[in-house]
Amino acid sequence: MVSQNARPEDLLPLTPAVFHILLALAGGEKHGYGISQEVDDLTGGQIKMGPGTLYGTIKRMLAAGLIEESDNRPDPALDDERRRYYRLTEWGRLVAGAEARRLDGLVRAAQARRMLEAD
Amino acid sequence: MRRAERFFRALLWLYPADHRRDYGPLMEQLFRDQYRDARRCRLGPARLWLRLLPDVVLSAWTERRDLRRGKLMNPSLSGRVDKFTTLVFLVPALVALLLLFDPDVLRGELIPYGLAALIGAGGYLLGRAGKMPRLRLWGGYAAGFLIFALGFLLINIWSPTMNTGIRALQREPVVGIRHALHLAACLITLAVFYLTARRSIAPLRIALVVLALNLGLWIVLHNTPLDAPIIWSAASMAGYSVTALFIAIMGVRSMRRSGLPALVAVMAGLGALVTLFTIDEYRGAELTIMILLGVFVPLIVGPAWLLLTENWRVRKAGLLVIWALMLFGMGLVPFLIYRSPGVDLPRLDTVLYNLGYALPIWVALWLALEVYEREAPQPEVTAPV
Repeated sequence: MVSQNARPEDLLPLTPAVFHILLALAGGEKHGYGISQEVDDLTGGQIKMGPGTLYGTIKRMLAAGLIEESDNRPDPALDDERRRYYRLTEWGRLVAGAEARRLDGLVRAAQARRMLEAD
Repeated sequence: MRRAERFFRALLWLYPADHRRDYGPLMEQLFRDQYRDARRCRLGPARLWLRLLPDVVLSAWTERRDLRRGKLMNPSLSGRVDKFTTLVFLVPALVALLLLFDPDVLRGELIPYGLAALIGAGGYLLGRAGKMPRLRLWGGYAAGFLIFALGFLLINIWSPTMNTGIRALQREPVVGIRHALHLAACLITLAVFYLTARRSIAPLRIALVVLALNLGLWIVLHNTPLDAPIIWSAASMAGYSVTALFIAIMGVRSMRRSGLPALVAVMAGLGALVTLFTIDEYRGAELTIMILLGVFVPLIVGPAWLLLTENWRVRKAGLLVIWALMLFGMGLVPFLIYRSPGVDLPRLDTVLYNLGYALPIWVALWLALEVYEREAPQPEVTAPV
């Protein structure tokens, strides 16, 4: 699905929704509700992903090969087996890393300009 | 909770049908989970709706915009197949085949016409009833042509087998009148395609190439000692080729939106067109070989290849090979059958004539696939998300 010549940097900058979902899945495979909860936790409740945004973004990320559906199904006694689980692909991990480095560079630039001192 | 769920389910109609089908149940599930959480606090549901309404409206608008622009990274080529839609289009073809090889199943001149009308009406009603949203997305012409072609295929295959119906009346000048009617139908189809195609520059350029090929072939045939086709035959040949070209282009383009079923349908329609154009001349075993090539390949082998392969390049190469085998095979079969004890010149003429329309159609298919490849992003090419 991913061109052999493609570089993670080609996809940057990612939209916030994409990066948040990549981060949420970095800790392991999750279903839609799990992802939205993880994003909620990661952002301290600042970002709450609705069904439209979440599944629209997931659809594009699947097409771009950033994530994939997991074949593993939970024990029906523990979870609804109709849920779909998603996990990061290796390509998705590379892209997430590249985005994190890009953001890190921006934060360092902000630090160098003493924009974070107020904190 | 139930009222909220019903309202949310109603909101999902804002999304395109494909998206609703693929993600609607998942979105409903997520809504139920979020709504359950929200009810834990007094103003939770109100806050949730305040977030959800713009979320749904904006994301539905985004999905529809992407669909219009064809920007979505082409799930149609990722191997996902709507098997129901595919079956709906393959079943009539299989019925036609069954009728062909077991003509005793039904007898009577009116029955094939009735069946063709039923197929056409059934396809039309399915489209109107919204049971097959993809049908609407293709535009009426592609689906309409397929329905027409399948119905016509049925009539044309039935008639020579039973020696009844219009085919039994095919003596000069009736044949000429029929060809003239075909040409008129081709020109009307062409005009419809031209008027409905948003970006018609590339197809028109290709049409010029195909017409030039047709003209060149006609001139070659006309200036050989062989029995040259008269002018209405050449015109008819051009009409068929150009129609085939536009069907191929529109079908390949519609694949962007509608996925593999669109291509399967268009291939079947093209196959039917080729077959009914070719089998005029043949009877007996020769007819059977022609029908095997002309019906089984586009209706069974081609779609099977599409369903079994996922990589676009493999698909494209396979389609070109399959269609080359079919088109040129149909052109060469009479020559192989009749080459001994000596070359039969009228038969050789038939071979050249068959190749004369086969080559432009194959070139049209190839160019249409090239147009598609150039205009549509492939899944191998990643795009920003």
